[in-house]
Amino acid sequence: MDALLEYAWVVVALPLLSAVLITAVGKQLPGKGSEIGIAALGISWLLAIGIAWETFVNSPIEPLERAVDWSPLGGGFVFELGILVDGLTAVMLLLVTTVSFMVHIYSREYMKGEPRYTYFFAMLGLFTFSMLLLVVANNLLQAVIGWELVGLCSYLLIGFYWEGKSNQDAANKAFLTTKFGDVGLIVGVIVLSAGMFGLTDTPFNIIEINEAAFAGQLSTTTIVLGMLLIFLGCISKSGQMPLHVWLPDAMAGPTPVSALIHAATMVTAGIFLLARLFPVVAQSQAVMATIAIVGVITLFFGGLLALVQDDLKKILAYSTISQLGYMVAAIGVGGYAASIFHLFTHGFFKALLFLGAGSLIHAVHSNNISDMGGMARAMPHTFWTFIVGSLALAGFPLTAGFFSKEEVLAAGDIWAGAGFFTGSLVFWVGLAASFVTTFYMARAVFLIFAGESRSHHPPHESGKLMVGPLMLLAVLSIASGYLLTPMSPEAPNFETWLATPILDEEATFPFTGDGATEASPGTVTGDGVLAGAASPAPLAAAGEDGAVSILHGVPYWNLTKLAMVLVLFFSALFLAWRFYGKGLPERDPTLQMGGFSRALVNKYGFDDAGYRYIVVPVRDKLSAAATYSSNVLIDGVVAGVGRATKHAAVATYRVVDQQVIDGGIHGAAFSAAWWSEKLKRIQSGDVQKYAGVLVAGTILLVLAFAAAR
Amino acid sequence: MQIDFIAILPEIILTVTALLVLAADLALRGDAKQFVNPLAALGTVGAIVATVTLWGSERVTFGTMYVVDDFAVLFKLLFLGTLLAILGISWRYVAENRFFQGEYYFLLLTSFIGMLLMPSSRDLIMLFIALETVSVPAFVMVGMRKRDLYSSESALKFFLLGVLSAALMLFGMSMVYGFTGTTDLVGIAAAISGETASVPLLLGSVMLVLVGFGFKISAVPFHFWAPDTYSGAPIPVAAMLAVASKAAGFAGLAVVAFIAFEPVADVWGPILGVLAVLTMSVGNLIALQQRDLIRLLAYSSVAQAGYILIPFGLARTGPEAAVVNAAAIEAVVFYLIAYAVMNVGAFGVAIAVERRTGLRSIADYAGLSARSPLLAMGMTVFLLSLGGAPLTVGLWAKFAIIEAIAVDITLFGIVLAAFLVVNSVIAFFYYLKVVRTVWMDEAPAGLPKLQPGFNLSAVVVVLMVGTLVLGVLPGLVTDFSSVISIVAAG
Repeated sequence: MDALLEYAWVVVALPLLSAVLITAVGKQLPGKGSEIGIAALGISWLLAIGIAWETFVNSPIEPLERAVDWSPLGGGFVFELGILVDGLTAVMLLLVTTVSFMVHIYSREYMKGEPRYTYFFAMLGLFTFSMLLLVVANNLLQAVIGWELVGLCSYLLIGFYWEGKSNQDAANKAFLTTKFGDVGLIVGVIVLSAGMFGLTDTPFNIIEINEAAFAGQLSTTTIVLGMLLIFLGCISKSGQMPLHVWLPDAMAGPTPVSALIHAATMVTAGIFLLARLFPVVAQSQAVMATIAIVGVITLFFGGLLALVQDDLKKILAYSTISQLGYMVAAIGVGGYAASIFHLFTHGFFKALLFLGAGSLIHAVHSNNISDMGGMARAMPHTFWTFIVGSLALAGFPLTAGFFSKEEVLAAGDIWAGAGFFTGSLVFWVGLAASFVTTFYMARAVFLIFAGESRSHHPPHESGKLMVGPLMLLAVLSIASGYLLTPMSPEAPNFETWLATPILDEEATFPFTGDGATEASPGTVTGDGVLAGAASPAPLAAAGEDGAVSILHGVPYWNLTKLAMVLVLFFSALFLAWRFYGKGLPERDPTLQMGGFSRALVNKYGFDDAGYRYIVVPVRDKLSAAATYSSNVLIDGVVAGVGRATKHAAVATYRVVDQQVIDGGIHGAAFSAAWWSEKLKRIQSGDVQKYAGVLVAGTILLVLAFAAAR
Repeated sequence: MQIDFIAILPEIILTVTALLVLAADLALRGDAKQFVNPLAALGTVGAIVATVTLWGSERVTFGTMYVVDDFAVLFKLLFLGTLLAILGISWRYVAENRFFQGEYYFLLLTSFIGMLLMPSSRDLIMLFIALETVSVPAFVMVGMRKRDLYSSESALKFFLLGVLSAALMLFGMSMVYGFTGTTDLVGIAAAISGETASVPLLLGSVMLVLVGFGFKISAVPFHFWAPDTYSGAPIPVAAMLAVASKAAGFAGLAVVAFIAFEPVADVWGPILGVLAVLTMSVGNLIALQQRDLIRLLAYSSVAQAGYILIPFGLARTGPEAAVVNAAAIEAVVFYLIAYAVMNVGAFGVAIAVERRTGLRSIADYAGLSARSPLLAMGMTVFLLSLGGAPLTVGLWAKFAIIEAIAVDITLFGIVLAAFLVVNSVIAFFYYLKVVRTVWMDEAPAGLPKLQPGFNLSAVVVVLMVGTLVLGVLPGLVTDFSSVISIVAAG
């Protein structure tokens, strides 16, 4: 069985080879180098499927590790260059190669006619290589190298249209923001490995770190400090608040890049790293709580921001931030498998949505949904694939997004059942945010596909090379969810796939919650939407001490919670249909003409529409006298909720996103510039002054020396 | 007194070459004058051969003033290699700018003779002579562009501040002699550790001695001369000052600090550590503002000096200090070698761009990738390496410092490491700015393709390959740098 796994390095090497070959000879070829990229990724993809299959059907498997030892500074300390293949690696290999392969094919048509076509494909290859290097890394240093290369490729691809100043600014912003987190990551890796120096010659080895942490050989300080610093890297890379600001701006890059890098793969690097080090994360309740809270804040406020965007790619960007928040939150509440499951399904449907968006943008030459409208008729294939992607994102039952998101919520529920406050937080806020998700996706879908076309270019369906990837991804956006459902209780499933020798069925968290377990220790019952074990009997608790299992087992149906999810979904859909069902954006500039426009604006204005369609019918149909007070109440609640949501969204966007965070980053840059400016002054060119400072410095140092003892 | 001529053979060869160069310059006329350059290069190669044969031996001569051990040999090879590279990048530049060529090469060689003396010196007087032999020809060389007021101004500034710091240093040396009664470094160490309680005035004079080296390595606050001098001096001279002269300063500092003043390492260690932090932070912050590439490299070299000072900040005293101090010296030597390889290369590219056109602002590097892909590639590699990117020697250089810190982790060490990491990130910003200009901006119209010439191209290629090869196989250097030790000798 290991035969195929031994060749995992080929999956990694092929994209690099492709990048090198494209750079060398790409321009001379008929396809300008794109054929090399597609061929290389195709082989990588097939191999990744084989590896995924091997690891899946035989799961749980013994991880395969191969490394070349290398002691560059002569003895003592060994640096490794190697691969580690287990279920988690296989999942990521499959996801990255699939999306990358689809994006390669898609870009062949999408990027046609771009001046830097060959360069683009070379960069795609380089990016894919970097990401895969990170994914297969068997040691943290190699992971950091992959991580940095990924950041570099992202920088270069965001600034792909570098003639535009705003694109350069976006690239710089992304680079600086993620670099800020990278400092944390690097220091964190050093802190974590410093604790390993006494234990082994290979202090960066991931398996050894995980084992040492699980065996309690690492001090609490090392774990907490190291993981929090590494988490800082994840915050910046995976777009968590407050360092998410670069991600919406990163949409300045070409759309296939947004699909590959800023939605499906690179931004998941942080979550991957947390999952990779989950045995370490699981040692500290403080670290997990921090992770959960950051995730919860991000998943909620990120989703709100998507409500007020007009740029389709920005809607999807904020949605990505929100979904990444779910994954991070899941890690924080012990949902190791849930997090990666959501990462996996999200990769497919978000890539689908971005590529669909690219198809739409290609057709109307604008990113704005106010320039679209009525696209369903013109672009039928894009339309139905986009619908599938939206349903999956919104968590509509029986799509992949449904199973994975409910798995995250169930993880929160189980965590809450074990007596941790953050569990309830993730469950309830996550549920509320799924309402927001449905609403903004429905808004986008209505405004894009319903009503009349507002485009200046007659829209047309994209070619086969663009539609083909959309269809495959649409299939995966549904199918990938069936790896872990109540319908497939026996192994192998997604959870056994991710199990490792440390994180096996018996593995538990080293700490216990307080409170909720006292009722019946040992039989904590999760009642999530799809929570817990095959039967509603004891599930999350393993021992008498109330210790919580890390793996949750196969979920089961919980009809109460399922009903709740459905009600939220349909009410959000209904609300969106009321506001946007006619496919007209709330403020359409072309309609701002005289009384005719005013009538339309009044009719479809956000607040007025709410008033007309919800408040007025309610008031008219009920007897005025009997229900006056409740009318006021309903009026107030409905209008209030609508207005508050909108205000919250606008305020979050304006104040938090645009002023506080941007301001903070500008401030930091400004203060460095200020210091730099002041320091520059000293260099006046006046030699007497130089001599003065030199002598003053000398005197100061002499005094410091003299006083030192 | 028996003099060991084998031990000083490299210096003898270089001295003879310098005199031959001066004589040849008298004999040659017009364009033929430029052939003093290969003559000097030939002498340098001879000196390298003589030095290599000294590897592994332990020779002491002139009483105990002059020691040739592996530490000294490695430094001498570093200086001679740098000299060869500087000769390569000087040839066309000097020939075209109508310098007094014979004098230029004579002064260059003389300055390098001083450098060769530095790591072997084991006596304060010897150290001072070596230091002045490095400095005095440099004062003149900076002012070589004699029709250019900037050149004269920078020479004058360099001279005034150099003399001032030399005076302070000499003052310190005289007081150290007063306290210890000897100028021999080992003797000084013995005398200091013999004292039961150290006198504040002695510690103050130790500091004054260190100031002289602080000036040479351009540590903050003794760095002011560097940017002004580099930008006024001919670029090959700037390269010499930024690399070779700085390495000589570090060699002298290592000798005097780790041998003579080792018993008070607990005093100068932390203070040099603080200076390291100041130096790298100030250097990097000001570098962010620069628009002139030479000034950017100048401030970057100030910042690099800060990194190299870090291991000095780790120094300890006492019986178990030897391990830590040896690791610190190893890191310094490795960093200096890496620094020489990448920084001389960067100056080489700057010469090729400035030659004939006089273009030197960063904006003038726009479209270098179209004008000369080789030089653009070289500049990219050198700058990335200066920043410490993976697959370049610069990463290992920084790693060597971290490794020295990790030998015995202290809070101060962690703080220094944190500053190193943060500063590396800041530095990347301005290095990448140049790289971006080189590759992404359009070249201004009307500029011809660059013709760097064979020598300069060869030097750039060799250094670029060196940067990358050492980036993968740093062991090629560390195998040698890890066996040196002056701590045991002291």
